[in-house]
Amino acid sequence: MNDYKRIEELKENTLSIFENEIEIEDLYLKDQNGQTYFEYIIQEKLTIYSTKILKHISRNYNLLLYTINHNYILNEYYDSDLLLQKENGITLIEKLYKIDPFKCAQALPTYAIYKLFEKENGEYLIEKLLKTSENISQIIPKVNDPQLLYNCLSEIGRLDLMENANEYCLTYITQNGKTLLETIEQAYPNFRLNYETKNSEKIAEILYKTKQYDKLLNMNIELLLNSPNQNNNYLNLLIEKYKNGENINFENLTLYQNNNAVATANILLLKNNIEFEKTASYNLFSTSIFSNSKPEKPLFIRMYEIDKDITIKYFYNKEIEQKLKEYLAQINGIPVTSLKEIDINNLEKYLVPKVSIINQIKNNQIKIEDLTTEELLSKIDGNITVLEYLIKNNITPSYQYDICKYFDGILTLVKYNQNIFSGTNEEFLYKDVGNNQKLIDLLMQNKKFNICINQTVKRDLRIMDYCIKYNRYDVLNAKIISELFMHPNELEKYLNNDQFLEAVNLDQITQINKLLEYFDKGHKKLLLNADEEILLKVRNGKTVLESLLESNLTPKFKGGITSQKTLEILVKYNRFDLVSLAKLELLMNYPNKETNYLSYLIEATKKKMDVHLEKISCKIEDNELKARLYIQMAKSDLQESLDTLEEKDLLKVDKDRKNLLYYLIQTDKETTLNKILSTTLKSNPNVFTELKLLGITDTPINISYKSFNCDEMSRTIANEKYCDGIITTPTVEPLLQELRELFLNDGQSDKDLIEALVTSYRYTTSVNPIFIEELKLLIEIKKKNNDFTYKKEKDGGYFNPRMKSVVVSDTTISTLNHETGHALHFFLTDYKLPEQYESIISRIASSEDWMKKLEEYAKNAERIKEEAKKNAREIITRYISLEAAQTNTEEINSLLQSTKEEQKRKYIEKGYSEETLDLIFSSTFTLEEFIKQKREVEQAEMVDVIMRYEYDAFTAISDILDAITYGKFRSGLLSTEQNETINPFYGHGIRYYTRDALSGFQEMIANYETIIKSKKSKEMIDLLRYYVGDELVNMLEEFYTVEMLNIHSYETERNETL
Amino acid sequence: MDELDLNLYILAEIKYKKEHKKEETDKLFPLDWYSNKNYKLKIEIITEALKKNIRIEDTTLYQESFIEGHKYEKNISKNEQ
Repeated sequence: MNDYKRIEELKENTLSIFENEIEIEDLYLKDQNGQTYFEYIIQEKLTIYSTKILKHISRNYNLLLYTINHNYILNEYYDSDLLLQKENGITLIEKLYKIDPFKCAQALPTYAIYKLFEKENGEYLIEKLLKTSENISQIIPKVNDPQLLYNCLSEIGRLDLMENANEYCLTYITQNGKTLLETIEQAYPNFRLNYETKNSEKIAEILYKTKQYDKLLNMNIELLLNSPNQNNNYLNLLIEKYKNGENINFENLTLYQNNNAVATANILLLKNNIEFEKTASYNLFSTSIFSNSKPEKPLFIRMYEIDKDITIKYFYNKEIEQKLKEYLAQINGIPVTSLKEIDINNLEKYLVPKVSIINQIKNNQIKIEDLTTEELLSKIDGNITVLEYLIKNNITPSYQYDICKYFDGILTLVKYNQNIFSGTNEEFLYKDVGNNQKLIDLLMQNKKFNICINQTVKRDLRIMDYCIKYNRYDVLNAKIISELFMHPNELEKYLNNDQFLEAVNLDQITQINKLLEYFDKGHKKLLLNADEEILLKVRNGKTVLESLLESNLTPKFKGGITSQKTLEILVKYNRFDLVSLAKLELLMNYPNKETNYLSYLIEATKKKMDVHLEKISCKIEDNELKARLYIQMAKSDLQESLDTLEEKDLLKVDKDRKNLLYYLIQTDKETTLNKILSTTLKSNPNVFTELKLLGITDTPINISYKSFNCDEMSRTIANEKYCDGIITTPTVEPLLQELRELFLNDGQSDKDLIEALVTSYRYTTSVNPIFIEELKLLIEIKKKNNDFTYKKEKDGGYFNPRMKSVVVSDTTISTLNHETGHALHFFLTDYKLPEQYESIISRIASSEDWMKKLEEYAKNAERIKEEAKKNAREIITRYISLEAAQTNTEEINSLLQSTKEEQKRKYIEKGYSEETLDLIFSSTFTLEEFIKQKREVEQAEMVDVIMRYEYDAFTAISDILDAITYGKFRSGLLSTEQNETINPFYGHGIRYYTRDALSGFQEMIANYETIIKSKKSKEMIDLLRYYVGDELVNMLEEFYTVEMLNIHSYETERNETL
Repeated sequence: MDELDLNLYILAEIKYKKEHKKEETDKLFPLDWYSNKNYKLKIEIITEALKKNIRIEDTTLYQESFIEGHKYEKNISKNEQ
């Protein structure tokens, strides 16, 4: 493929900057205007997801500079050494900070942040940047070196910026034995806490101890009500002090957070006779009475629920009365005018009846996904929380992310051994959970919590103690490893710890020079996990890789081998066991195509050296390369070391739209046919056809392929399935004849359909006499309604009660049975709906294992689909005549080769719109492509016929399951506990049931007909019972027998039936 | 079966597949897609999908002409016109 074409393809598809879809070389490809693909990505501000590409850019000065000059920030990938380099006297760090300090704080390594607080030419970098913009202060919360921060800010006279410092810095104890917070207070009395630090328990403790009550009252009100503990919280402690005569100004309370906390605080103060101007006067109906999103209860109501008397005494007045009326009218859905007087002492009766959340869930009044985290963590029945109740009942709310933000939430998930896919607050890890354990102990004891720990640890090096305690280093992520590198004393503790060195993740380490320094000091094992680029750095005249190999240390090459230089070294050291890890392109093309590294490997194998041919990666998209690999290996009879080729591998097309088989034949026909393709593969109809198309006519298997008529095929199967071995009975045959004549003489019904209907009744009546009754009723219906017909239309597949017609597209018997079921339901009961229908399906849908059953069904359905595909391929070979006509290539060729206008003309005559034709003919198509697609369409149609014949009852069950979910199953809207979508199968989908929720029963009864008339009816009814339970199946059985067939001895006949 | 319709349909399907080459073929075509042999209708549906850059299943025409209940409604209105 030429460069222009490749770059065009890359630009067309912006997803290509994902891993593995773009190569480093692609970055340098130029388009016709001379712009490289790299420049295009940066100018268009496309996000780069590929680690490989990010690493490459961040380690290349020119590319990095280009990103910075175009205000482009790389995600967390910056190389510390390069950032210190300068352009026109300005370091790259400095330039980066000017783009967006906040984003830089996220993206830059800790190392680069500290550069802000270091002096250069007598000036701190932060000082310099502050002159341009105050925004740089946004980076301060990221700083974890209190002394450095304080010294710098106090020296430049900007202690006010310490307000942005994080909890760790403020609570740091300085040399004078005081916390930094106290030290700042003395130097800068106007110091205020920020949003984050107002939530810090440690800071609250310091403020309480140092008697800074005004500042303490200014902290988050929830914290004041819950710390140090709920019963003896700071607000209580301050009230006590106030009563004992201390001067405490409660005006400092910030009474504007969540209504629950504000209400509790208000009542607490007023109960203690503490009144002040601000108490609760803050808009009593503050939050969102009329908002559409889930509103908080008004403050007045919250307080009323806590203490009715105090609330009425202090807050009830004319103005509030009016607002209250409006609120009550709104929640009760009545006009305000209907609430003339309010009985303020008995407000409960106006409020929504207080149904517990659990009851609301049980009664489907509230969906689990609509619960707030607060509600999930609220207590019911004494001790248990809603969340615990749900987990005990096998329901896990899917939005765990929010739950994990709360200590009680994460603890519950851990205690109940739930899967956790998100991180939590790093501080929580070290909170006590009883039995002398902390949360981290619980997490470390079970590997399933790895993701949670991995996504949580960021800065706190206490995690290392637990890694040692549990010998678990796999939980460490790149951030915490980077942090560890910032603390050499800590790091050195682990440099001789083999488990640590095995597991250490160096992927995003930016302190490359530090790594190399340790390496130079003899800590070679530290680099076992380093990527190839680091392994190729030269130290004392040798690459790191060479030094490692000489010390008998084997690097892991986690990112694979992509450099020719690496291969040269490995070959030099006879490490062929590692050579096989190289990228296939390198193995096949270097040093040159003829004598490539693969030939070295083959030679080494012959010499019985340690070679791991099985590690060669065959999972590549490039078919040409893959073909050369298989041929080269096969020539030395080593092809069995590679992945076994299957039909799908051979026929999968690559980006040039050519398949592997094409390249294999092009490269070496003889080797391909004799050594690579097994006899089974060659006799596979699709491979066989492909070989024919490639001009291989001398293969020993004598089958060929033709287009076929699905309907014809369908009839052949029907005959096999429903006619063979069926004995006609003297009772039934006259009835069948009567049915046939009645419909064939109505002048409208389709002959083939009526014959298929007769075939179906002949079969079903021979199996079960109940269908003789149904047949008689159908005859009666036809006699009364001569306009009741069976018609064939291309897009049929329904029963139309107004036209009294069953309309189908082909003679598939299961479809006929289904639509006849609709007709019988209509004619015999006028679409009656059983009274208990809704309550039964609601019970099924709320039963404990319902979702699991659906999931299980969906898995079986997938298996069956695959089975049907396999059968389709077999049937194609079985039924299709051996000497079938080749697809009419001439006609297709003329279509594909004619001009666009000629192509269009033919179709305009047939009534196609210009717009449709322009759209289709805007592309060009090859003959090969056309034939391949045609074969796929035919095969898919065959699969459909097989599904409807062989799995008719199974798909009918699917339709019933879909009806119970009101179409969500068919529309793919259901998910498993692990939040994976449950694969949809047959059904009607959500839009159908949105139109008419109760039409579910119509579908169920029609599907019931399909099932009881199917070949394995008993087995299938049992299967239906397994999925939906006895109640629904009994209801369908009773409805069919009693309501439709009018057989009242149903109970006695039930056991005989089916 | 009209060969011309089928040929055009095959071209439309190739184009549709190319436009959605990132997606699994199984998900591109609804389960009941191949039960219907009205290639002209199916070409119209694919045209709508291509124009709106959506999947077949999400086109209005598919919803109206494939799903049993909707199909029946559409035919009623057709017959009543």
